[in-house]
Amino acid sequence: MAIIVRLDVMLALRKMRSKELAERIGITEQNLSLLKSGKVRGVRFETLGAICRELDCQPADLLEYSPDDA
Amino acid sequence: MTPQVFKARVQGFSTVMIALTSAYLVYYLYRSVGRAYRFSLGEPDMWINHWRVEDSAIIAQSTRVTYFCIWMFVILASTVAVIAALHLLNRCRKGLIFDAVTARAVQHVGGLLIIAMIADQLFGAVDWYLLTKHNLVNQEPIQWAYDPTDYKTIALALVLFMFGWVMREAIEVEQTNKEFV
Repeated sequence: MAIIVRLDVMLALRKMRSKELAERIGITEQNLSLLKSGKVRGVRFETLGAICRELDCQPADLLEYSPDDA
Repeated sequence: MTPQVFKARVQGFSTVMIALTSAYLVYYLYRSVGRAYRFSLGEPDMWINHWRVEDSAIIAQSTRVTYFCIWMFVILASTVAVIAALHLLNRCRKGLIFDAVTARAVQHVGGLLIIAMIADQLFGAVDWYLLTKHNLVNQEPIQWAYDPTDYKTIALALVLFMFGWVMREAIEVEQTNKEFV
């Protein structure tokens, strides 16, 4: 996929566990895991906003476009 | 009304409707096939005694066979539509109410009803022509036979077809939404 999700990197930088983030943003751990692995069709702005709020980052810190994978 | 109660009611209603529709299908086939057969082939006097047919008319066997085949097509089209409706009711009885296959079944019922009613209208136009074909004087031309029941059924079937279409789109949108986190 052309979009690479950098959520695991941000979680490591903020020293936060997936379970904690999932609880804070109100989605299941399973869905967060799917998002981390890029196995979802899309992410809602609401979810993206909540992740940015909890991890104190910008959307660009979480998502990256890779032309080679397109 | 909770979704579970709604589902249980739909299942119960579908079971009753399956019994009624099955009984109707048997009655419809018995009556319509029986009439078409008796009128065109089984009881030759029925045709001769029709008020539009002259006493001196001699009905050719080919005309009788054509008449029978034409009405059998209409009966067959209607039967297929009723069988599609039974399939739809059976899915509802099983509790499979909001899924893509059920939505497609709703569309099929609508589409098949439209075909059956159009066939009824088209063959209704040649009905009197065939009946009076062998009259010496009063022969009827092929003419459009206006039947308001057919038009009402076509309108209803169109609504059913559109409803199935909307249902399919809604199910697709729901499925796409589920893939978003």
